[in-house]
Amino acid sequence: MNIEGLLEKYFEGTTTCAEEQALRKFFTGKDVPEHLESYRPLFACIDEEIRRNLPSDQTPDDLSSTVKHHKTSHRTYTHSLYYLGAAAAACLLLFFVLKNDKKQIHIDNLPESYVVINGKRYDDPKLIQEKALEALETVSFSDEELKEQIIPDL
Amino acid sequence: MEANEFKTTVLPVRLRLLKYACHLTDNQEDAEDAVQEVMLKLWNSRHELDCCRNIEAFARTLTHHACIDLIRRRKYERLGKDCEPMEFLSHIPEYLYEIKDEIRLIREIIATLPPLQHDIMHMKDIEEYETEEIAQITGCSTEAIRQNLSRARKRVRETYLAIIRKRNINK
Amino acid sequence: MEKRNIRHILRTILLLICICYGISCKAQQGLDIATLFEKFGDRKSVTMVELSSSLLRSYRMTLYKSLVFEDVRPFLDEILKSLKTDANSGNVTKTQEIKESGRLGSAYYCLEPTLRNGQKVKRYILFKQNRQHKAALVYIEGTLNEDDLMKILYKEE
Repeated sequence: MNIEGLLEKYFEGTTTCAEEQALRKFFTGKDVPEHLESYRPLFACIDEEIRRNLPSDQTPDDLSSTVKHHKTSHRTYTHSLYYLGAAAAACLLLFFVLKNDKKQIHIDNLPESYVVINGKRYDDPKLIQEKALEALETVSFSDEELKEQIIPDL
Repeated sequence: MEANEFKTTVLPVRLRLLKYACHLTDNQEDAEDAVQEVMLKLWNSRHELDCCRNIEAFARTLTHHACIDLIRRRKYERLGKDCEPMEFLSHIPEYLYEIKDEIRLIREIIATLPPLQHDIMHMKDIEEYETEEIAQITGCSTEAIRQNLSRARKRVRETYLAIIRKRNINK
Repeated sequence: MEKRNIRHILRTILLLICICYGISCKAQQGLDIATLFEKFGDRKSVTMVELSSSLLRSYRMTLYKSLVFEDVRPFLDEILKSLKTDANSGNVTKTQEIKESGRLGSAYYCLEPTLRNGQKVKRYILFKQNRQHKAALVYIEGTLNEDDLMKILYKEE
């Protein structure tokens, strides 16, 4: 299997899905030659995204043997552990940050929704929604405006 | 909205969108790119289209924005006397340099691709559609799809290599 | 624990709170247009809306603020100046400006994402004035992307 040839086809956009699958298999495997090492993250990322994209009961159509499959799942397992550890650390950090933040929010005025018209503040939800929609309408283009849009002098 | 309904209700609008885009961009190739992008966006949100009261108006607005975007980008490219094909390398966002994990870096680079290139690469590489299928969905030629797919992939490669190179220089 | 230690710890916590408060205030917008909301929010014939997080969650927004001017002319100079400052601030990732007979008719800026409470949020500024001098300035933060924003803006069409 000529990997370099496939790579060239890949960047020209002429590979089929089967050929792309072969590329991914190659680059997520063990023996990636040094001069091709820089392509590994790309196909590893795509491989990960595909797995994320699939519904949980499916596995990507893989021609690999059971041994190889076991090896990749072992690698993803250790990978997951690292991510779990990082996530746990991040959660702890976030917890402390939020704890401080919550205190700060009580000092400050946490905005409930409100609308200020002519300097007077109102809390009526219907009015608030009406005025918010009016703002969005004003900031977007109506059909007539689109039709008569003069493309600016660029 | 299911795939078949999409093909019968949304695809026919494509010609009108193309006409509108041609009128705005004054350039057949740019108009095709803009419409390709819009069709992909519509396809990706086909399940929400049922709530949309006027799909054609929505599509027209998307086309409008896509065209203005393209015109701006072309203007940007034309400003440099020698039109550099790798011009995007000078606009790499700073935060990409800070990402240490290479796989995550690639993911972020893909996320910063121009919308059309991003959508096509996502559909081909991740959702695993064949080029012919994407051509059918968007109503565009396979050659047009191939071209944008190639541009997207090359752009990811060059951006990644540029970032790695800069990192190695700074080490 | 000694009373002295407790006081010391409390002082440190208070200092941390102040720092967090200060940082978040500064990071609140860090944008020039933030001053516009404070300045013009309670003026005559100006409507300001701010929406709370619970309302915004379904739209994947975390912050929504808008100003609608029935007649924008007295405020236009400051608004345009402020928009220009933010547009040239170097953290804009996408700009769309439409000029009509030399004046800025509408503007759309997508800013570089920023961290809020440990979450990466995208930021958008929208501005438009119509022929009758009515104008709106909208500032949105959230995890929504541009397509989502467009859908929200144009769903009513």
